[in-house]
Amino acid sequence: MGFLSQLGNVLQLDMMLFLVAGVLYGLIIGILPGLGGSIAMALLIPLTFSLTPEQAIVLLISAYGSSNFGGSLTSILINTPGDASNAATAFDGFPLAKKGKAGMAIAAAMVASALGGLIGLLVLDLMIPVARKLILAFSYPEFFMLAIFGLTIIAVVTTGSLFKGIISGLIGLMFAYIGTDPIMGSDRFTFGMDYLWDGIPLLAVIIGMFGITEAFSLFSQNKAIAHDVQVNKGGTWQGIKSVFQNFWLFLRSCFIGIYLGMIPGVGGTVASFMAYGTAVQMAKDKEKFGKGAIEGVIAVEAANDSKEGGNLLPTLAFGIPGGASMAVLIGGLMIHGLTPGPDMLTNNLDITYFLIAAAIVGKFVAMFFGLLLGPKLVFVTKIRGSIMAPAIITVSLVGAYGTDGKFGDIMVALLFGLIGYYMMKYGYSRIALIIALVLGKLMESSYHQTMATFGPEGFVTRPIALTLVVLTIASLIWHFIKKMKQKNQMKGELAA
Amino acid sequence: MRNKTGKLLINGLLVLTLGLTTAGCSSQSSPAKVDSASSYPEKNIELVVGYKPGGGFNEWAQAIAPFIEKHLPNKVNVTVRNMPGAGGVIATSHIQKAKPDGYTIGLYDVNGLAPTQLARPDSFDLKEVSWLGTVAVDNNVGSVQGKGSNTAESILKQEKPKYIVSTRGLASNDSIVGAISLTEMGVKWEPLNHEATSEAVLSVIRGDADILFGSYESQQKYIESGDLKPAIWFGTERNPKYPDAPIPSELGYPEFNEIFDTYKMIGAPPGLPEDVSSTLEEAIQKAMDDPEFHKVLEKMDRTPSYLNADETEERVEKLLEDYAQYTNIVKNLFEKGE
Repeated sequence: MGFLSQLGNVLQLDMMLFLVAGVLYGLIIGILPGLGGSIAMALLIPLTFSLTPEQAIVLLISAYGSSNFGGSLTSILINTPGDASNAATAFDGFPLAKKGKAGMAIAAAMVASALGGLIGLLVLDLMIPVARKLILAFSYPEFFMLAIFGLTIIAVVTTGSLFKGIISGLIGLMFAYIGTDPIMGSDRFTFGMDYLWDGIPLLAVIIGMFGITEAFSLFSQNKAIAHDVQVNKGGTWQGIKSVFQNFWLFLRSCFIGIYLGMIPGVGGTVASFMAYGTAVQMAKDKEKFGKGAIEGVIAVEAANDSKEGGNLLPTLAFGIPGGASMAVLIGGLMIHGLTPGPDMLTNNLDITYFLIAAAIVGKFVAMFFGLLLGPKLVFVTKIRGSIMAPAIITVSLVGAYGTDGKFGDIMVALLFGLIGYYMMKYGYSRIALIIALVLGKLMESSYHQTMATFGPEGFVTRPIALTLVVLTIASLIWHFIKKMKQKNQMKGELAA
Repeated sequence: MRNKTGKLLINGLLVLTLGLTTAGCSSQSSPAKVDSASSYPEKNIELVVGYKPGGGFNEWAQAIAPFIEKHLPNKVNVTVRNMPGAGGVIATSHIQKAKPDGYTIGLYDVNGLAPTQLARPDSFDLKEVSWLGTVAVDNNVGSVQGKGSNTAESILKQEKPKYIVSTRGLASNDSIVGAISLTEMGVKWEPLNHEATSEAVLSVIRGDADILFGSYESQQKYIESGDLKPAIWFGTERNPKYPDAPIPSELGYPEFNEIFDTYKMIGAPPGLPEDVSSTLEEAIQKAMDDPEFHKVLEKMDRTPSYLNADETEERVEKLLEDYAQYTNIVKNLFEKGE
C-alpha cells in the first residue's frame, strides 16, 4: 500500500483545487457523447505546460477518472453512451430509466465506479512488484482465446431467439472486417473510400444504435422515456445499497476489468462487455437482464473503472499504453520530463504512488459530485418524446462528430440509427452486433499472429490459453444445460 | 393513426439521412477566394496533424505551434487540428485539396506517406506540396530484445531458419525499412503485423518477434530502459550511446546508411503564393532558432534539426526516388500476406 505515503501530498489545498477542477471538467466532457477520457486529457495537456509535474498529474488523472462517471449518466438517462466503454451501461441502465428508476441506476453506477476504481488501483499498487512478468505472460494465443470467450457471451446475453442473436453477431463480424486487414495492412471492403481505411468507427456505431435508435422510437411513439410509470424521486439510497447487496458480483467484475485492462491491445471496451456477459451468465434469473436489472449496471461500471488500474500497469511498467487514453497520458507525462517505463517502478516510485493516490481521491470526489448532481437529472426521462428525440439526435450527432471531427462519422451514426431501429423492431440483438464488432478484429489478428509465431499448437500448449479454452467450453455447456433444465421444468409445470 | 404518423416520421428521417449523405459528398469544394497576401495572416492558421493526440507528431505540432505564432507578423493563433485516419492519408488529402491561402498547413510524416503514394498514387502527391521547412530529422534503428541473443551479425549469418519482423502496417515506413534492408542482405524473414507501435514493441520484448525497425524517437524510451537494444543503427557513424550497434556500411551495405532517415516536415497546399510562403518559412525558421523553443524540446527529450524550404523539397524528391528504386521489394512485401 505504498500510495498511502503519498496521500498526504494529494490532500493539499492547491492539489485539491486542481483535483476538483479536473473532476468537474471530466464529468462535463464525459456527459458529451463521443468525448471520453482520452479527449478530456488531450485537451488539457497544453494547459499543463506551466504547472509542476505533480499538479499536471492531478489534473490529468482526475479528469480522466471522472469522464467515465459522466459517460454513464447519459447511458442511463437517454441511452446514449458517452464513450465506447459506457455502452454496456446502457443495456440495463436505460431500461431502469424506463421503469422510472434512473435515480437508483445512477447512484449504483456512481458507487460501483468509485469503489471499482478504488479496487483496481489497490490491486495495481499490490501488483507493481510482479507487473512486468504478468504482462509478458499474455501473448497472441491468449488474446485469441479471450476474443472467442467474449464472442460466446453473445449466446448468453441474447434473450429470445438464439438464432437471431447469432445472425446479429455475424453481421457485426462482417462490419468488423471492413478497413485495414490485420495481416498485410492493406485496405479491404473500403469501396475506394479513404474514410473506411480505419474501419467502421465503433463509437459512431454505438451512438447510432443506442442514442439515435432510441430517438427514432421515442419520436414514433411520442411518449416520455419513463411514460407510464411514476418516476422514483429518491432511489439514491436504494442504488448505493444495491452495490453492497451484490458485492460478489461487484468484486468479480472488478477483477475482470483489471485483467482485461492490463493487456495492451485488448482494451477496456472488451472489459465492460465481458463483465456484463459474466453477470448474466452467473445470475440465477437471466431473464431479467436487458429489461432493467441493477446487476447489469453494477457489473459494467465496476469493470469500467477497475480496468483503469489494469490499464496503468503496462503504462507504468513498460511505458506501453494499455489503451488510447493511456497513450495520451504518456504524452502528457513526457512533457513534464517523466518517462513512463521501468523507471517509474524504481527511481520514480514516489511519483507512481502519488499518481495512484491522486486517482483514488479523484474517484471519490467524482462520486460525490455524481451522487449530488446525477439524480437531479432524472427529470429528462419525463420529457415528452417529441421534444426529447430531436435533442437526443442533436447531442448524439455532435458527439459522433466530436470524436475525430469527421463528417463520415455522422453518416455512420445515422445509418446505424436506422439499422438499430429495424433490428429492435424485428427482435434482432443490437448487443450481439456490437460485441462482434468489438471483438472481430482482435480475433482475426491474434489468430494470424499466433499462427506466425507459435503455430496451431500455441492455442493449447500455453497454460493461460488452455485455461481460457476450457472456460469457454465449460461456460457454453453450462449455459445450454441450464437452458434445457429450465425448459424441462417449464414443461413439467405445464403438465402439472 | 398514431402508428401511421410514426411510420411517416421514420421514413422522413430515412430520406433526411440519404439527403445528408449526398450533401456531404458534394460539399467538399467551395469556390476559393484567396485573400490579398500582403496583409497575411489575418485570421487563425490551422496546423493539421494526421494522427491522434498522444503520438510523436502531435507532440511536435503542439510544441511548435505557439512559437510559429510568436514569430508571425500579425497577432493570430496557430491551432493544431488532429485529423487522424488511414495512416495520415486523410489529413494529407485534406491539405492537398485545401485553399492555398496559408491558413491551412500540415505537419507531414513523409516517410510513411511516400511508400503509400507509390502504392496508391491517386489521393495526393508529395511532389506538389508547397514545402515550408523540416523541423526534425531522426535516425532509423533496428532493435532486438534487450536480453536476447540476436545481433546484426547473427541475423546476417541466418542463425535461425527465419527471422520474424514485428511490423505496424505493412505499408508503414517501419515495415518497408525492414523489408528493403533484410531482403537486400539476403536474410530469410517473415512479417508479424500489429495495429499499433506499442503492440509491435511488446512483441519483441516478449520474444515472440525477433526484430523491429523504426525511428529512434519511437523506440528511444524502450532502448533506454533496456527492454530493447539496437542491433543496427542507420546512420553515417555509430551512435556513441550504443557503440555495439553497427551501421549498414560496416555490414557491407553503405547504400542504407542514410536513405532511411525519418523527417517531420511542414508543408502547405500546392500553389501557395510566394509572399505567403516566405512569411511562413521565416516564422518557422525563427521558431526553430528560438531558445525558448529549445527549452521546451529539451524538457520533452527531443532534438530539433532544421532544413529550409528548398532543402526540404530536395529531400522529398530524393526520398520518392529512393523508394521507387526498391519498388519490387515493396511490391513483394504487399504480396507476402496474400
